[in-house]
Amino acid sequence: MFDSLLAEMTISDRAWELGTLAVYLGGLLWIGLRSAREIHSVDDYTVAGRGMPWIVVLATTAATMVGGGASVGYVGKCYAIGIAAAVVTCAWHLQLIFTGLFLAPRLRGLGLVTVAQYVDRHFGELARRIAVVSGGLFLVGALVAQMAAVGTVTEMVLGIPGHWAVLLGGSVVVLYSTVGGIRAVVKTDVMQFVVLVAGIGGASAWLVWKHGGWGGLAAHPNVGLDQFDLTSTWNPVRLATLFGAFLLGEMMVPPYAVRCFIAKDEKHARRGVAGGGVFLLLFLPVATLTLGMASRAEPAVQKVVEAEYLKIRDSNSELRATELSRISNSELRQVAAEGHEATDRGRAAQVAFPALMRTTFPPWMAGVMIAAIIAAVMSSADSCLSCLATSVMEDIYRVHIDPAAEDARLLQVARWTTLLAGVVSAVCALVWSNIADILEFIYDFWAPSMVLPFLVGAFCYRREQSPAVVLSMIGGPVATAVWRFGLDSPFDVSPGFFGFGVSVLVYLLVCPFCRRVPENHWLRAGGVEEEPK
Amino acid sequence: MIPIWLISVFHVVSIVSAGVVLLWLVAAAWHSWSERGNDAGP
Repeated sequence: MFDSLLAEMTISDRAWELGTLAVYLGGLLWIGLRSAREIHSVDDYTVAGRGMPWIVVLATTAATMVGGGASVGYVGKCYAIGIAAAVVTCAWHLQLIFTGLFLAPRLRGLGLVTVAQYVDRHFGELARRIAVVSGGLFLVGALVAQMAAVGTVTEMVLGIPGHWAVLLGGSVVVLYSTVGGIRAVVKTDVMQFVVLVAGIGGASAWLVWKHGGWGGLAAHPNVGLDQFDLTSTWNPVRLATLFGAFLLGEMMVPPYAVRCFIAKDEKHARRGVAGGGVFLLLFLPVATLTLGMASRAEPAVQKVVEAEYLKIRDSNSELRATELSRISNSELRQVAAEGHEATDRGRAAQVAFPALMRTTFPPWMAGVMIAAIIAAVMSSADSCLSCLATSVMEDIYRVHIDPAAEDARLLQVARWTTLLAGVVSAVCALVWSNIADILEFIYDFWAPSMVLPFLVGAFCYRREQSPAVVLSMIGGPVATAVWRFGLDSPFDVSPGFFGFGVSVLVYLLVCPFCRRVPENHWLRAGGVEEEPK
Repeated sequence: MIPIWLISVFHVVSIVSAGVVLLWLVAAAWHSWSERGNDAGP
């Protein structure tokens, strides 16, 4: 993508970058494979023996949270639209703080392994099955998207063909996740967290110092005070619904739930997950804003982004011309054309972060920063892979296929699932081109089906209300589908946000009719007693 | 419009928090490593 930049690099610069990356990938493999020695039971493989201290939970939660979107994607968004992009990402971190304070201790106290088990204990078998399907869809989609992101980001940053990057990065992730399970995932996450925080934090401090502080950066002719106006690009409705969608979209998704399960006890779960949220809230939005603004201030980065925009515009020109020709009203045509330009410029801005690294830092430091970018993507992919294997083993194999299975057999199932899911997702990532759309689609469906059961379970649980919760778990996704596909998401309201609203409404409407504890097998809750200490 | 001085303050907080968390991790790793060494015994 930045062919001109790559062409300008000397062989020694390139050797530094590739060497740093090779050392980083080698380190990940070494740490991951060493973790296999600590796997003695299924509990070790799926919940790391429930022995992680809060600082490790904090690091692994934060590393999982920061994927390709939160790093490369949102530096690009800050570059394109300014401070509003950094502000909406605060919703992700606030969601983690809420989860840590109110849900993590409860989840840890129940001694669970998967999200579906929580739903089963509170709302019965039908809700559990919906949770398994919802969690499975989310994990498969997120895994394929993160695998594809490994390829896209590496191709963008290093110029290595995307399919080779998927095969190389994917092999490393699949290998250590298969052998070492969640123990390997957590240990590599800690390493990825250190690289990520040191890389992004160091870069943001150095760039602000280089421009003579924030005053100097804001006064730069390519930046300007407009960039610090919250509503200069997004209107208040869009800003508010995006904030709401981000707040709900990833709440209690399986990778975060597992971070609650692996903690030493309730106190460590609360401090680790909420601490991860507090840290990210303090650290990441300002850091991404800094990198976005510094990219605007660098003429070399602007040149690369402009070249990328022209490339995207030219590749879409025929399709866009056909779309515009169908619009008869000239004013509407003009609005649509401006919308296309904004979309293309937004996509082009994704190259801002890697271009900034390459044009601003010496090669060895650019190598570390590139490793940090790739760390962000890989740490999200390995978490999805581990959760998927755990869900297949606990929610499907142990429940429906062999309830009496012994530890060794379950461990075998989890390992084979990890390997198979990793290979299949890497293959899907190679052949599937609309990954971003699929990811958006999956995120839209998580909140409407799964957030309300967690909130009800934590704050106002009553056994007789399980039919209301089950109906809300069905009604929410159906409303999301209608809003998204039937009505094409009117008024700038995201489908996930609308679907969640409908799920709350269904719950409130059905609740008054739920006066007796259901006797039916499908709706009878499994019980919410805490595990013995 | 968010004032620039406020962003400067948040930026300092951001860098300090990164430093504190990284140091905490190093201290925890050191503590765990030294404990493991003691457990191994002479």
